[in-house]
Amino acid sequence: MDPLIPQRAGAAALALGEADFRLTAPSGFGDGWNHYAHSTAWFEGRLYVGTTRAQMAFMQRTTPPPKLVPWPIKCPPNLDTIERRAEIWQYTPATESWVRVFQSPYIKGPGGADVARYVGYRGMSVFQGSTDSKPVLYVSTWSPRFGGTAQLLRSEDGANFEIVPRPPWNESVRAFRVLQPFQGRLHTSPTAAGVAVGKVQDSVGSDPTIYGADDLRSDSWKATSASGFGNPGNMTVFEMAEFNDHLYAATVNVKGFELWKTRGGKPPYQWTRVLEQGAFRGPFNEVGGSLCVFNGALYIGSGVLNGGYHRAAGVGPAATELLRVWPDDSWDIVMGEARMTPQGLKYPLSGYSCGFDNMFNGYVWRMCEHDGHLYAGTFCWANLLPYVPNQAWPDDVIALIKRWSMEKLVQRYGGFELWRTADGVHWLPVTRTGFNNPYNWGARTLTSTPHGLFVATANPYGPDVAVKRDGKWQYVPNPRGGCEVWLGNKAFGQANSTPTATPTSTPAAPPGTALA
Amino acid sequence: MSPAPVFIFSAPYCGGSRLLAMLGGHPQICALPELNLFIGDNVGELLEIAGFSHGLLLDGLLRAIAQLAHGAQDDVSVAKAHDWLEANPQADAAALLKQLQAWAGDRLLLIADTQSPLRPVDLQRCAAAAPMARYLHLTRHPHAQGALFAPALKERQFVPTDYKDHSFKPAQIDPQIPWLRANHNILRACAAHGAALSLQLPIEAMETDADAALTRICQWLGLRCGAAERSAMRDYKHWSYLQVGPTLAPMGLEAEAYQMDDKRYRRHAVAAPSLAAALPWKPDRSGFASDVRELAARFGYS
Repeated sequence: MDPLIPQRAGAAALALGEADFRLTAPSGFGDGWNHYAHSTAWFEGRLYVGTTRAQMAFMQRTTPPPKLVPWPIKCPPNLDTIERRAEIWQYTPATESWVRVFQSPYIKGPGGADVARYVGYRGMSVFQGSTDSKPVLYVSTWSPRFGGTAQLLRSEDGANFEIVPRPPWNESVRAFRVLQPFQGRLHTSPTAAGVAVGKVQDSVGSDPTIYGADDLRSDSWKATSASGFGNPGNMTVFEMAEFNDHLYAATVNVKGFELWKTRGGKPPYQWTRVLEQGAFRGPFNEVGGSLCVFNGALYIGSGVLNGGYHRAAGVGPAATELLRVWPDDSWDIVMGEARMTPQGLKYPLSGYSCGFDNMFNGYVWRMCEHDGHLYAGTFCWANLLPYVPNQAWPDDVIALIKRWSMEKLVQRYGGFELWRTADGVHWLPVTRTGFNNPYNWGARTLTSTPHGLFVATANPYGPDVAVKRDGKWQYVPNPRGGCEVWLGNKAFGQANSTPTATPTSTPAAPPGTALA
Repeated sequence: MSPAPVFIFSAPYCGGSRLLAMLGGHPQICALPELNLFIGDNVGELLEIAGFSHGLLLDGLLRAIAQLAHGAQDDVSVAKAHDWLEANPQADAAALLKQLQAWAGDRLLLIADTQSPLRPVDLQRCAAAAPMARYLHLTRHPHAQGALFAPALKERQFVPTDYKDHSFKPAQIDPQIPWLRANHNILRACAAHGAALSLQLPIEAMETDADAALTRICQWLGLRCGAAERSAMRDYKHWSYLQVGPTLAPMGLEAEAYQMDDKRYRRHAVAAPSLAAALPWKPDRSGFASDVRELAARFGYS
């Protein structure tokens, strides 16, 4: 028995609360430009985290850019002057220590300038291909405009990474994300595309085809689906999961995402549509953004691209829903809006409306099963409010600000939310404040390990954040900016606990009132 | 010390307030308005949620404490009640119920709740706080409920998203949604809680033979139900919580409670509804969803 792995009690006793989490990696691993802990994997007893750098600076160059005044962080005029080489970090539980095991190389850009080859690692998977002698770590990359196309990296030891063949997509593909094993093949599809300045779309690929390969060291990639499953509206295959001996895939579609499934076999596979029109919510369920199997159902976190407001498509702002699909293709709304559908009247089984009753939760960004519970982490944009010109606020937000004040609103809603359930219906919050850091705007990855549940965040508010002092905006160093990695374990909460009043004790009687 | 409390669970506008008011006249019962004890894990969370919400979530709890602890429902007593809650932020629902029971003495605590049935985790908190409580599941024909509820909702400035059909743009008020949702959740909660602790009752039984219905409830609760008790229960309009409260806590019951003398309310309440009828509140005049019809039929409605 590994002495570092705590003894397990019953599943109910293992539900994690906020006090059970410890911060293991603060402030972007010491560099506030590590904005996203974008991908994680548990590999040979260690946690690996791939970062994406300077995401908030990149967003300033997108078209159309978000209307934020001032820009929330201090950015140099030239994006390429930021050190954007993405990093991979390794955590060793025995020593509770982090070490950077890989950093993107430079390549030569226009005029011979050094350009980061990779600015992010958006996906990781441990997979054993047909010519792999053991399960190895695969990493999908995000390349900048002059960094060439996205690549697939392979590592046997977690320290040395080599490029292996990528699917046969064109040079415009900037990033891919999901790496989904199924029937001995690894499957993926492009996530970002674009070559023109300001035209890179970080969440829409140019080729909505699912490719699969069993031998990743040779060029064995084959298309396993038609482009967009034959629907031109399916712009991207965003997420995949294995469930009930099928491969499931969720798309991006401005009329509402679609969910497809296949039994697999010899490529190309036969696919069947399970959900359409965003489960009949339409554009506000533009993307099936996260998938997770739990207690015999496939849970789907939905959303609208770009944090709940897809400006280029005019969709949103809207808060996320959580759905679930059963093996017979019947489905439920777990959290979201009640509606009549062709499959009958659906209402949110949990009782929570969109965003777990929080209009700022744009996505359920990642889900994970851990110790008998399903955890769902959100992306929350409330902390952007101080930078959003007030004429752009939705009416309900204006009403909230009038009622509470901006300061209280951000204090209450800033930071992602993490929720848990033991049965899929009864949900309780673990944190509603990004672990008391409003700059943690997303729970970007959740990883269940024998040592606990790792929650790695997206936090683009570093190194210098805009704050208002004496009525004037200024940029100041932000010690809570940059991604964080938290580890949740019941043993931490027990160690941290201090004697408090027994919750079920009778409260003090009101003054002057005799107790019966 | 009184025995474990009794909760009247129902969907909104299913007559829970009226039944509560009638039972509140029984000398062995201490009937309390909607306390919303289960929207958070402790008093601190209740106060925080109430502070951020549109409604008057804690009016019922404040009035109940003011009445039981200080003998009056006025602003001075309500302020004291609020101070007391603020002084006990760690107290959870079990502790509050224990205190309320202590104040109620030998009388049986009876509490109306139309909000917890909309959210399963709140019902779960209730079961944890009061494992031996009894549940009275009150139903109403969904057509009658909708005919009462829809016009009331249309007059509100803020209608919770829970009460709307979002397949319409903009979303349309549709009372069958909370009806289905609440009744499904109550049924699941009752099943988990145990059949011996639950009783299902149609509010229509009060219309056809109030004495018989009240007698049945009293027998289930183990209370006397002689002529004096029945007479006291029929005189329900004197139940103090049925009146608008003081400035600091004016409400405490669902809106239906304050409309029971309205002529339109009375007309709908006694109408003969049908599960097959077109729904007057629906823009397309469609009928009930199949799930609603099936559950209503299971309750004995046609």
